[in-house]
Amino acid sequence: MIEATGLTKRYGGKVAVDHLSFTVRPGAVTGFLGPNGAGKSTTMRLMLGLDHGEGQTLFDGKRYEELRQPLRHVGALLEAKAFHPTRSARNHLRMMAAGSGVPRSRVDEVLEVVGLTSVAKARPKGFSLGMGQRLGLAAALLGQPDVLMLDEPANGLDPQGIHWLRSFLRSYAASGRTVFVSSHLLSEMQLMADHLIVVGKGRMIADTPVADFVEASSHSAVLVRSPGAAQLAEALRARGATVAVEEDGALAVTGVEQALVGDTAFAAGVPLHELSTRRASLEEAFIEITGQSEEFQGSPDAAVSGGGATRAGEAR
Amino acid sequence: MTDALKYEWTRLRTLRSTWWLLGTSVAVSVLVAALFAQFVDAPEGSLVLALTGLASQAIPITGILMGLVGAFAIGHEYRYGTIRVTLPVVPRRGALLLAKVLVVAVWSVLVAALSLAAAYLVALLWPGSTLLDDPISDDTVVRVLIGFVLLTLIYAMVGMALAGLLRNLPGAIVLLIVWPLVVENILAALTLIPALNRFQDETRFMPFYAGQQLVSTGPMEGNPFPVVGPWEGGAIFGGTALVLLVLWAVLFRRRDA
Repeated sequence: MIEATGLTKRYGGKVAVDHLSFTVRPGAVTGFLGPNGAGKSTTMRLMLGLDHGEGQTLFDGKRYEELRQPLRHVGALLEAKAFHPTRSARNHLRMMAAGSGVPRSRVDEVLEVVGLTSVAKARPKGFSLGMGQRLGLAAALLGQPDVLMLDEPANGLDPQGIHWLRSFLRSYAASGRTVFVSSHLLSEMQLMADHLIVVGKGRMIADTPVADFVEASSHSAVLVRSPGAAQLAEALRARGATVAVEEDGALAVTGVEQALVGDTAFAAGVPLHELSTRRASLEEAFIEITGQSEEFQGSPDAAVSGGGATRAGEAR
Repeated sequence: MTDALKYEWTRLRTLRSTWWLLGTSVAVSVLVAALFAQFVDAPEGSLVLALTGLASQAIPITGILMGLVGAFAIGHEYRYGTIRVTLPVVPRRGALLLAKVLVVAVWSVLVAALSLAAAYLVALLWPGSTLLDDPISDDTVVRVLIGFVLLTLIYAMVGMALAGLLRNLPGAIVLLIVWPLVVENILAALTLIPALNRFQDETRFMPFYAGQQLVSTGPMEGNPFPVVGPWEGGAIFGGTALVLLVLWAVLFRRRDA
């Protein structure tokens, strides 16, 4: 359990993190989302006491500094490739183990878990970003902590690595532990997270279950096709629904349940060719909701491009 | 605190450079002692010159090497971003800083002692060596040997404090070498200009130059520059290191990692 209250960080006059308060509960994966520059990494550094700022963070009731051998309570991955280029992966982890009262045998265990056993003795100078991330993950897991805090852990991982990470974190959380993970890979987050904390410009935008976050998006709608669309739209509006006409003539209805749309059509005597619920992808919901606070916004086209895979979600 | 010390000791011991620098220090000591044993016919004072690797005349090599060990102790943390690995393991900054100081201090003292021992063995066992016939008093030899260990220790502390203050390893290393070799020499040379001649007396307080008196057996003939006594010099150099360390400690606690 992580309880953060009033986290605030200023650089000169600029506020990077603005009174963030949230709770990360055990037993679930909590995703930490926000556009570039929203203050996610700064927030994580504040939580661990690496950066100085206002507010406090309690890990199972204690400040990080008060934890004895903190790696046994909190495992953090803040930066990929934070290691000395000629100190082997095994020695890097042995160093951390030595300072945390973790037995040496645990080092080889975590190397095995992240799949770095074959390069454990090599100089990590030539490690790829993905291998660096794996070493960072191994370090975070070293003390078998109850809390995992990972900043962009999927960065640089190959598809197998991402798949492994997802199932690993889900099962870690399922065993009753706390997992707090930031990512900009939204499709990944949709599959991995149960709960979302969304920030923009350092402020809290949403603190909600993933399902509710997606539900709230205007991209989530009941989709209707009908030869009597105009008549149906009128009947639906009379019942308090918001109706938009899509490019292909279909109606996107929000504000009412799918069943009510069917009942309304029946009552109005309008034939239906299609009646379905469209769920927004996390990406659509995210871009819509963070749009107002986007600090480094590109053109609208650029903002939604590259999301081909997640757009398939519209068909559901 | 024990955990912090264990962390720092493992950090030091798993760094290749630690062992290279130890080897270099011993090798240089052996080499200088061997050259003296072979070629010098033991005028007074040659024994301490041989044992300390000419530390009182040239730049103290062991000091510079341990200055590097000190600079690496904190400089690597910023150069490779490992400060964000280290602080989560040892979140209390005071404890981390103290552990770094203690581990580097003990290591530099050990390396200095080992280098002296290696040089002494050469002076003792080299065929035809007359170094141990040096008429120098035992008290002076002991004083210089203790001075050598202290000088090395202070160099290590200065190296560490500079790297911690600058958070820039190459910058700290350059400063560690340029300060004694260039800056102090230029300042001293400037006082040879008649207009600046009246400052010549003050050059004896330049920290590295003063520190070097720890291993000196007295002013060299023909050297126009005044010197301070060995312990006074040690206090000046040690005091400089202490000021730099305290400054670093204050900033280290205040700065973001």
